[in-house]
Amino acid sequence: MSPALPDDVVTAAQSGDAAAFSRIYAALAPGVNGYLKVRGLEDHEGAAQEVFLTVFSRIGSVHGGFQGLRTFTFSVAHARYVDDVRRRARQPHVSGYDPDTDVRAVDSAETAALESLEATGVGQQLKQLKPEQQEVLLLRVVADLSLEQVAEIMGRTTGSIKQLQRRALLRLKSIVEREEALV
Amino acid sequence: MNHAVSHNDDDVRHLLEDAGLEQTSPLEASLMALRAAGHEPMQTAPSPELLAFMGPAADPSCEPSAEPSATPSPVAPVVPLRRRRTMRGAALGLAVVAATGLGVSGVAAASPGFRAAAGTAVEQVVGFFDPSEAGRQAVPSTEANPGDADAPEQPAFGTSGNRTDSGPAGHGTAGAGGESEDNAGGSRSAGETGRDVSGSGSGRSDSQPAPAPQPERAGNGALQDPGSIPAEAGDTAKKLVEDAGGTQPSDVVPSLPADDVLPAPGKPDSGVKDLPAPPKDAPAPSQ
Repeated sequence: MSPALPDDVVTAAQSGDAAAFSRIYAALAPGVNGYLKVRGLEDHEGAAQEVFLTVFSRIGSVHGGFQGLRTFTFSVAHARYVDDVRRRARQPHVSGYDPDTDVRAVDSAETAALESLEATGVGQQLKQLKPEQQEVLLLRVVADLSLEQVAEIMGRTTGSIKQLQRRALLRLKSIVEREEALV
Repeated sequence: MNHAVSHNDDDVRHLLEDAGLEQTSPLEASLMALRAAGHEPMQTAPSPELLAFMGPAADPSCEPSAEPSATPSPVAPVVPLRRRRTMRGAALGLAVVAATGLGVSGVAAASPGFRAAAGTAVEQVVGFFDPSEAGRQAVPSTEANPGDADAPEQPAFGTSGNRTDSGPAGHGTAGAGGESEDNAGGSRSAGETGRDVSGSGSGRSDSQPAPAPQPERAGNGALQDPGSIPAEAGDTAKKLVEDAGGTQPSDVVPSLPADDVLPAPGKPDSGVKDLPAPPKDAPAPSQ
């Protein structure tokens, strides 16, 4: 869980204190980076820094202390993710030729073992969930937000977020148990 | 570390209890791995834009992977530009006013009728705000000949003889005399009278030979008697003459000598001997 900061830090940042900006960045940057990384953004660290640029430039409009700042920060991160998905939908994916990723060649034993490990990772498990279920789990587990905060970010009611969370956990449980059974 | 792990375990258990699910080790391990993704440190240092927010007081311990050379902000301070809009507007307004004044003065110097038109316009504007002043000044200006723009500026208390005399002699137009009478306070009939008088004066001087001079009355004006007032003149002119009684022109007026004084060549009874005729055989004077 990311460390919680007192509300005075937000007030100091709103008055232009540079040290307060540093403490906010240190407290929230890992969570934002992990959220964007699990979501599959290519340059997740660059996107995280853009998120904090937006948050710092609008910190004067933040209300609710540190929890309000956390909600606002992950709202911006969620908007960045949505923008990235739309941009990728509009533009065809262009990738250069990498001989190491050419599937027409036979992989070595080590490469096959690593790929199997990645396939069993949490990222692959999450990809089998619906997008809304992924979003709820990431905001609840990675960003450590409450049901009300997740509902505010996703624009839904708290009850619907609770139902989405339950279905996501049930779906993840079935996926994990199936993989355990296969192994 | 153990405290953090136990804290994460508590959060995961609490999450599963809220969802009404049983705690299984594979699901709990998966959620713990997912939760650990949010605690990985940033691999890159903050961008210069972010460092500008954090300033030199940024704590290097907050960014474990931050390079020490990245702490000073390379962003130059923002210096607001000086605003010169007010000075620019004043300078432009001054230039426009100066150019307009130069143009108007050039037009006034080029065309003599412009001054009369400008004077008329000014008097009309003044008359709009002060009708009493306009009724006294606007009338001569509207009837004025553009060539006689200076006529209303002449003193109004001169004698009628001089006014009627200076009009046709100075400008050669019969209308100027009428204007002078009108400007002196006379009515429309007085103006016509002045025009008639001046016309007769100029015609006499051109067509008839000079009559026998009368030293007391031989004025150079159109009236036979400079001190008299024409019968057709209005009462206003008479009042003006009476008011200006002490300023009558002097009677000492240069006159032509009598005819008997001047020699009349070619007349036998003139008493002046003619020059002897040159002899016929004399050589002709060289030209």
